[in-house]
Amino acid sequence: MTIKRLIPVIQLDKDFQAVKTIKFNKRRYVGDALNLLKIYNELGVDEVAIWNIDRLILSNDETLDGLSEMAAEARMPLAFGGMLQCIADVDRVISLGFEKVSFSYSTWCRDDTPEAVVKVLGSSGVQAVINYRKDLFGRYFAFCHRSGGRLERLSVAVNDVTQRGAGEIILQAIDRDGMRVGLDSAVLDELDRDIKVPLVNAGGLRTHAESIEALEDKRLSGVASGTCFTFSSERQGVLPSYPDDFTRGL
Amino acid sequence: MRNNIGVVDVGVGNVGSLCRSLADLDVNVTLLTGPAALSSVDGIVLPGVGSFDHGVRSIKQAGLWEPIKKAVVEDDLPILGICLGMQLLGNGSEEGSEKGLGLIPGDIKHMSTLGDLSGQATIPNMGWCRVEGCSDKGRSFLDSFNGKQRYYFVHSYYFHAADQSNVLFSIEGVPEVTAAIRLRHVSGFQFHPEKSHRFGRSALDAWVRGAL
Repeated sequence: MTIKRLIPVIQLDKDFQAVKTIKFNKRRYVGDALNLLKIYNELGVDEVAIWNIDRLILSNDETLDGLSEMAAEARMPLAFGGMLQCIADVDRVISLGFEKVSFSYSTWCRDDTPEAVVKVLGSSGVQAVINYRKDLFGRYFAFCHRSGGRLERLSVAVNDVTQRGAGEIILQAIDRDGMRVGLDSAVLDELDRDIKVPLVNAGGLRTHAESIEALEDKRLSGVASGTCFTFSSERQGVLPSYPDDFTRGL
Repeated sequence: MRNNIGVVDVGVGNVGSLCRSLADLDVNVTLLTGPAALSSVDGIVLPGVGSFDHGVRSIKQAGLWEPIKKAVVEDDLPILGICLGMQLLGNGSEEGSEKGLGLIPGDIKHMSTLGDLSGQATIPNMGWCRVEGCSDKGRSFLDSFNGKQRYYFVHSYYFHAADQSNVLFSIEGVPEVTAAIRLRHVSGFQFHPEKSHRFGRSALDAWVRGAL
């Protein structure tokens, strides 16, 4: 039986530096992305998600060299998302040594690239990242992370990507991003009960203890965070950290 | 101690992370893209991802298939197959029509043939799994780490060993799924040691020292 995962997120900016967004808007500089990955190696993290938030072009030699260096350095599985516009982009990333690719729900809505990638890599290699918000009436909707436009009801979006072959779904709460206000555990109640695809909760994680407690929910297979595993809890200085195996009960 | 390891690099998966992991163990790593360098190494690592037939054909196209067999069978050169590379050590696979290297008796079967795995494993099995020892050697290795070793797996097929005494570990809760196997100087890991942190490093280190 596979072990539930805690997944640090590295957001790459246009200069190949690691940053952390707050509500998908403001951002804080974290440091050199490769160095951060090396620290996560030392910490023994389960998996790392690398998100290309400034749309680095994946046919650019400099970008590929940087990603290649990260893949060679990683002692854990890697997922990559952002600017995967065609099968050739995905081929490039996978051939560098990444295990999975991620597509935001707006991409799933816009074209059939994710489904085409599922046919090539299989479901297990393809994640869907659904960025969502709750409206004034408490209803959950998927949103486009770039335009800010509202897409589908969250449950509809989850069913959509499930039927189209996503092997894993990351539920990312936009309004909790970088805020350290706690995970939105109630979001799982919004979904159909028979979702078979692994679900990862992201956005708002406060502490290691909260991440471990969250994984006790049978519906979740992972928790992801770019803040909690990157900044110290008190002064928010850059201090990558991760719970050890004993604390996690492994 | 195997000091000069040849890593087969014929385009069946990326070997960058694996080479770094081996280099971290202070061994020299030589990329084997053809048979020329085979005589200079004292151990072969055969990695791979993708389909069985593609793996076989890629190694054949590189002119390495027969030289590897000869080096292992006639010259007793140690070999470690990783993921698809481990499956290539067997006789053949349900996934394709090509024959394997036949270095460890056994066949590669799809995990769906195991019946209902609900709660134990998904297909493909992709993620971190604990393992349990199946042989004295496997149990001894795991006991040296208090038994709590876990590794990163990505596979839909498994190695069904003709002789179960060759199986070192299996995936916890799914004893049919071989996680590591060894017959004399021929070894295989179904998991990715290069993606399995200190757990994978320990397993690779044990192979380099001849202990797995």
